[in-house]
Amino acid sequence: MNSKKYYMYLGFVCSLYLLQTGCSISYSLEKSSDSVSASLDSFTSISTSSSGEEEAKVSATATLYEEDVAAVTVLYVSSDKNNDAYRRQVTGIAQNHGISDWEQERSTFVGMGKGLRRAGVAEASIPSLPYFRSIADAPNYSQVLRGYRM
Amino acid sequence: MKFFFYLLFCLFPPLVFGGQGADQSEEVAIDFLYINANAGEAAGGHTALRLGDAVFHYQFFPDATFLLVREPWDSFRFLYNDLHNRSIAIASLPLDLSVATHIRNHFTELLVSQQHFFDVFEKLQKENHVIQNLLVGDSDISVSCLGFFSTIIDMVDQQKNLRYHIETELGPEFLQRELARANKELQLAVHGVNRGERPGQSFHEILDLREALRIFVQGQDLDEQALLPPMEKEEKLSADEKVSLEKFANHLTHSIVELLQSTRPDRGETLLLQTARYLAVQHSLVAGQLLSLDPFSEDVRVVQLTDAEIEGGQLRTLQNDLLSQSVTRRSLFFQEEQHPEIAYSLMETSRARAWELSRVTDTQRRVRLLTRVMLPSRPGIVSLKLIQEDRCELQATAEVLVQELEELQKKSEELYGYNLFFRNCATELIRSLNTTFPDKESGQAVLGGWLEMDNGLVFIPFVFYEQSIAAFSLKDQQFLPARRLRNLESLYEQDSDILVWLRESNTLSSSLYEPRSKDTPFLFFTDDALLLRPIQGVLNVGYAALHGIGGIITLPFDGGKRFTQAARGVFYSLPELAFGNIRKGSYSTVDSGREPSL
Repeated sequence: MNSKKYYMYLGFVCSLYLLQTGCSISYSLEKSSDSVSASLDSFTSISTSSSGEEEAKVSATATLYEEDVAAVTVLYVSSDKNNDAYRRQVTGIAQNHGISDWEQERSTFVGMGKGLRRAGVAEASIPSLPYFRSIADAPNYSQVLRGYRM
Repeated sequence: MKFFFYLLFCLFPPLVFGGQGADQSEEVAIDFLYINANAGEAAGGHTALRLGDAVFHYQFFPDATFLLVREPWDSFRFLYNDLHNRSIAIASLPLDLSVATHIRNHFTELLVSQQHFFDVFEKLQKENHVIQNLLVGDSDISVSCLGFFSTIIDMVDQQKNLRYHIETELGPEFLQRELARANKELQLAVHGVNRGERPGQSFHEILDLREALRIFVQGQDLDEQALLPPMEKEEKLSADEKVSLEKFANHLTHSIVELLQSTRPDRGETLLLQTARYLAVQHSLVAGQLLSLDPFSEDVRVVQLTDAEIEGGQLRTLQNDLLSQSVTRRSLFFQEEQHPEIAYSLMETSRARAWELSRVTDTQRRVRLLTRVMLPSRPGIVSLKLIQEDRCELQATAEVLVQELEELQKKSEELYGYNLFFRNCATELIRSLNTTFPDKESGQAVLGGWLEMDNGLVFIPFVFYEQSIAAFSLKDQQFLPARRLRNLESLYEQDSDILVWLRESNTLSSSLYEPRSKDTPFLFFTDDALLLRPIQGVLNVGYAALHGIGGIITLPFDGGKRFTQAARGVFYSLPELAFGNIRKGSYSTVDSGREPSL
């Protein structure tokens, strides 16, 4: 009985909710026609970080980037291993994190190594993958192995 | 008093949250978050999963997509708990580190797949745009980052230095040889388009590379509008900073030389950006002032500030905050050894934000907004006169592209569309968590429970939270009261309860809240008054209705804005009649002094 009342109550309040917004709306992509106070609000989350957070921002960004590169490498291994498509995807991820030339960023190759391990690639088989074959003699390859062994 | 707030936090009686503090033990946990409702955004409440220092949640975007988002916990809490004034309940699921890492990796993979899908979509749209333009005789093609360079062909000293480095490393004929090769490749690509072949991504990439090589050979300087000038309060470069900047210039030179030898298909755009940045650095060294590229893109969000914002203290405080952030990031960039490009981009973005806001005057109220770090990309136009397309073939290509775009749009709706019952923040969180594991049995064994997205009313965020607690035997519940409730608690400790309640229960005399149009007109805060809620709800409805009458009078002058706000005010008061609460008031930028991370 209690359960029935509970669901009736829920049903009533939910019917009110259904008429209103369901889930969270992206704050950063609000329409520009939003209220003016929202316009200044838009600056808030980007202007009020503490100095401690600022100091950690570079390394935090690098860590997230490394995670993303690892993730895209897992997907690369499980897909048709298109060399160019993989590199374009890495470019897209790097751009999202403020990195223009990902070939000069060590986290890229560490992340790749982590992704290869996660995807279950044996260390000896890494150079058999098209992209990694192309960098097997390059200095960055040691970073791939470092990430793999982490 | 704390218990009182915990009790009142619950929108619904069955929900009771404990008041324990955060679990400080070293056990790894994933946290289920429930963020209660407020007017305007997530009126039905919101859910998220905290995995380490990142929060993963699904958000609705203005283009009707519903996407997985990752945010740092601190930013998430600040936005929802402080600015949106919404309480957050957290329940933890202790797990082995390997399992927790596996879940986070899975969510990251979902994020990356999602990005890949929309990248493909965007590139297809770009390809279609080229074909559609060709069909109407327009052979102008946009090249990212080319807009930073002057159209005046005159080899400047900075370019001479760069060219010297390139030729020293790669040989004196390298650039001419590569330019000739790129021109040939472009010609082949153009002939392909003329024959009805699809340009594809490589067409743009060949063009980007050709343009980058042309800039090196012709030695163009930056366009005079490419750089953001020094701000009044910006200090000149110190001797140490100049040394660091020269080091960064060497990094860029090395990057350019390596890119010229790279086999990356998309290196042209990066070459253009690295060259523009190299020139920005050289101009900074000559001027003795830090200068950076203008990172605002053409489609960046623009806001228009009002008199109240300009004349009040809000703008000044924000200007100071952004300038201070810019100074901090400048200092961090000059210290950074490991990730110079990340530090430079952070500095470049914050400097642009501060500069943009510093320009606001009585007549200049338009402000471009960078909500995240953006690599500068100002496009330039290349006119490919060689394109003499076969219109029949081109028409056929256009039809294929339109069909592909339609299919992709349909797939986007299937994969990333929003549905209140079947694809919302709660259902997608469950779906994402469940797909971490190959099947229900293995997931159940690891998580200690299982939840299905079609399990009754689980699509309602607070039901999801409640069911998660039961299904996964979640422990260590934590409660973060909304900002107003937190401040109210402090006032109750300092002053008489009844006096504080009388003053703070309404929007007219509250010292903790300034009415905002976003919150809609209302008289009483009902989030901390469960028993009085229906009565206060009636008064709130009446108050909003009175505003509505005023709105009818002002209808010819404000285009119905006030009336609409009043109608929304009535709407958000309706749940209060049934002991529910959505609206809690919210806070703006300046009065939201940031508190330490929780």
